[in-house]
Amino acid sequence: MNKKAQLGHGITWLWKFMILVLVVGCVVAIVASHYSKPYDIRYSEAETLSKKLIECIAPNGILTQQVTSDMVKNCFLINDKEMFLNLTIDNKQAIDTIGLLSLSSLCEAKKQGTKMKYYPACLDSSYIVLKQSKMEFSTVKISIAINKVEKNI
Amino acid sequence: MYSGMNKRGFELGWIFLFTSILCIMIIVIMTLWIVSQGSGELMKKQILAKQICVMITEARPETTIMIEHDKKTSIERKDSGIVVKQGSFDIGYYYDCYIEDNVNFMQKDNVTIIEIK
Repeated sequence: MNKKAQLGHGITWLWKFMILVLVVGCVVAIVASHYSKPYDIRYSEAETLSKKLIECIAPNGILTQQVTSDMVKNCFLINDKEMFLNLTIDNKQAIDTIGLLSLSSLCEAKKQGTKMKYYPACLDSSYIVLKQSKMEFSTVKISIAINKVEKNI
Repeated sequence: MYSGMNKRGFELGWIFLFTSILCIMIIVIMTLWIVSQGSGELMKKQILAKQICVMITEARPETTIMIEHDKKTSIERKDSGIVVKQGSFDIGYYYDCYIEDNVNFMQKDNVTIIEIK
């Protein structure tokens, strides 16, 4: 084969290979995007954590001692980078907020109707517990925000 | 050795063989991959990992969870999360959870036993 013919042959091969890569790449991209849609479980997670927290700080609905940050941190494993937690008792801040404060702002924005592509799962739950020291009912409000957008959105 | 053969024809034969093998390999790999994706394998792993995470988080101490699955599936713990694998060559699906030191994972044939102490 002369040099020009060899070059032409090589270019034809490269072209065929590029078309093959393009076709395979497109099929892979379409199938992957169709079958790998994440399943958002963050709301269930937030609900579970909220129940676990209230059971931990007020077993059987009875608040026996003052709630502290350490007490809350011992209730379950808290990932500071993916979570935000706030706890109020009778509308008074019971502990310093735990986790990413920016998630709280995102939750507020979401409540006000701001549309976001990547948003955290926000859950506000309210429980009525009995304060053993004063023998009166108190309202405990727990706000949990979970980020984990990569695996859930 | 090939002096008696037509050199050009020999070259073309090799090119044809190489191209055919390459194309067949690509088509087979792609078909197997599409079939595995289409059967929902990735989705199954994801759902399994996430549901187990919620189950463990919700479980009270002294709870034992038994999960029956097919033999090639394995459910393991990795740091505070869960990894679900399909076969030994699979890197698996990892989901970050809230698993603490009081949780033990054991696998017996097609059953994974999770003990929360």
